[in-house]
Amino acid sequence: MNFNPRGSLLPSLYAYGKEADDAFLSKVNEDTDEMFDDLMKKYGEVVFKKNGRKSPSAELDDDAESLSFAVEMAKVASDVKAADIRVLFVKPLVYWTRFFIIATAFSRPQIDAIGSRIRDLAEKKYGKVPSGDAKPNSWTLLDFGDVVVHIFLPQQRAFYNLEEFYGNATLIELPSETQPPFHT
Amino acid sequence: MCIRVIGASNCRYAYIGDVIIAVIKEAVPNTPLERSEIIRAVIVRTRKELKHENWMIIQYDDNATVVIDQEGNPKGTRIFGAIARKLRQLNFTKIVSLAPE
Repeated sequence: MNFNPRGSLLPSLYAYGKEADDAFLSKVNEDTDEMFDDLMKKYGEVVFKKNGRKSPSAELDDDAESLSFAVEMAKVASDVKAADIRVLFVKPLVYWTRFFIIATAFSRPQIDAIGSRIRDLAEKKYGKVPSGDAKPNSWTLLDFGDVVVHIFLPQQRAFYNLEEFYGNATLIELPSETQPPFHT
Repeated sequence: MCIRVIGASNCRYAYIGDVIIAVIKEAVPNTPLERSEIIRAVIVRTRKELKHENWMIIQYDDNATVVIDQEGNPKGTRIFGAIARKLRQLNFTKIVSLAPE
């Protein structure tokens, strides 16, 4: 009668042939890494390069363009009296966009107004048409590719708390319009 | 469990990006959703492979949905797991923006 005392392995059940040992327990260490690097340098060649990788300076130019677009959209939102407008630079965190604009509006007609003004300005000045919500929603989203605009009602903004989720993103400072007029 | 696929009548199967009407069969206690509640959901992951236009094929290990409300806003505040980029093209950028990485 075969019984195994608890906790003991049966080495005979496992095939520990020498070939299996070499295949599964490869001895990768720093020496082999160096060896591979040397071989790559001597004999390696680039077979396939992914097209569409821009140079860093071209990417910075694109970033600057998207930034100016984002700042302008934020200005439009503040013209319609949206509250607590934030522009976040999310490119290091997210691969699918560069900037987020988050704004709070206090009623659905206001959301509608902000949305339509942003749409009109983007189409007239930049020729960009957003995909996203057409009807005003308690969370209205306008997706311009590089820039995504979120317009919340106050309860939704607190509920979804996107700023906390993207807390690692850099906050872009906006030129404040609420500067007091200069009195002589 | 899925009851109906929205958008196309007589549709046999739903794929990633389709909105479905579903009923909750099992629920974690102390959450806003309860068993046998009828909900709307968007499919975000399927075990059936998803074919992109550029011949890329993506297949996940599980089937997953995100519960949404009548307006299309997700009912929860965060999303777990990977999300296909196809959802952005289908106007579900809200879900994509709540998803990790």
